[in-house]
Amino acid sequence: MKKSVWIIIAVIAVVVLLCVGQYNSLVSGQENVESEMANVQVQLQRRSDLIPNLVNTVKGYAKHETEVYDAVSDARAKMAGAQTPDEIVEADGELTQALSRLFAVAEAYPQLNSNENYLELQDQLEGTENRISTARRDYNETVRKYNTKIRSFPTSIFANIFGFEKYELFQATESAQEVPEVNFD
Amino acid sequence: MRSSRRRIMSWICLALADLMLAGGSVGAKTAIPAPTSQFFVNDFAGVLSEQTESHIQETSESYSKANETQIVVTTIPSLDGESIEDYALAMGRQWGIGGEEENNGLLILLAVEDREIRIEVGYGLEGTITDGLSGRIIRGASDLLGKDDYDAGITQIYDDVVGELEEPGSYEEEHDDSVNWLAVILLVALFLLFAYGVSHRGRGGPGGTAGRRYRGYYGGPYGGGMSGGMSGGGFSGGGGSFGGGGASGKF
Repeated sequence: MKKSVWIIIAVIAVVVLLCVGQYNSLVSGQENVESEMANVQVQLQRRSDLIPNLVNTVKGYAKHETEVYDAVSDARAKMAGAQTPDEIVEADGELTQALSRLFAVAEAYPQLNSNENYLELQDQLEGTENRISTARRDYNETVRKYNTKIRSFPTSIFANIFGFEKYELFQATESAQEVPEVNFD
Repeated sequence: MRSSRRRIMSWICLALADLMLAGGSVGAKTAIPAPTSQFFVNDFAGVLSEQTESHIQETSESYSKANETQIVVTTIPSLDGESIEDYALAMGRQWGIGGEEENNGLLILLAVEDREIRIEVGYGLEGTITDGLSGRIIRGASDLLGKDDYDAGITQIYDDVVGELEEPGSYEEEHDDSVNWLAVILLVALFLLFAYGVSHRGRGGPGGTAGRRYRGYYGGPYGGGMSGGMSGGGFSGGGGSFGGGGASGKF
């Protein structure tokens, strides 16, 4: 009688311990993903902060390109509202397109192109874009590990019980990779 | 049946490869070469003079000892189709340039055939060597690099970076385009004095020229021999990481 009670207690203890261990490791995995996402957001914010400066510098030389400036500010606003990787990728594509139009406009002003301030802003923007892509890749790497983990046995059982779900990856869309065409009509 | 089995096998192989690569496989698809035993200078393209190499090596060594800041210069013949941003990031991370806690590593990478250069800045140095400054430093040397004078170009970039690390804000100060009014006033005063002297048939006053102030790069005298704790007599990365900061340029 007593012996079987002990066995049951032991089994329950083992199961509880297993659950705690699995749960904690899932939580820490989730934590890693969240922190990588935060990195992406920081860099996106940083780029967002740079844009008004850049636009103002270009405006100083090219006053009448309001359409381009509006497109940039619209895309920037959309970017600010993007949360999930899919939304970010979409808004990012638009912003990249709007910015390349801005740069195309700037091309026509040689004085602007030799303005050290403008060149430096461009460096900063490029640097930030590079950081964004690095942060996105790091995020994907972490998410891939996490997603693999919650789908592999036996962790998958616990992930199911506790309701841990897969995270979305950043999928680079073809259009975002392409250099947008510039039309001066 | 056989094909499905093969598929499973290949899937397992892929999964294994994925697991093994998962460590630090961010970025470059091309294989990054291992650093030379010198670590701070890796002239794979063979474009640097011996003098430049030892200048970089000695400066970086003393720097590394002083505060673990690791400044590495690498030249490669070609990027093999990789973007210089990805290549430099992968190299910086794989070599672990900079201290693990401080992430204070910096890599100057020159790809000769691609005619591209990049300053890759570790997380910890991003505040000092900003993207904008990196870009300016590269633009400042693009004339030299454009003339295929890699030795002088790299030296200039390296010295600019070290100078900035030693004294933040110094690059800005030295390359300030605005007019130095004090100098103008002094010159005018000198000219007036001289004119006055000539008109009075006296002797012209001695003209003083303000020489460019020399900034020593070495934190202190470099004591010969390596400090203890370095295995194999060479230096190696401290495990620092990079987040894609810095700037690239074509020449």
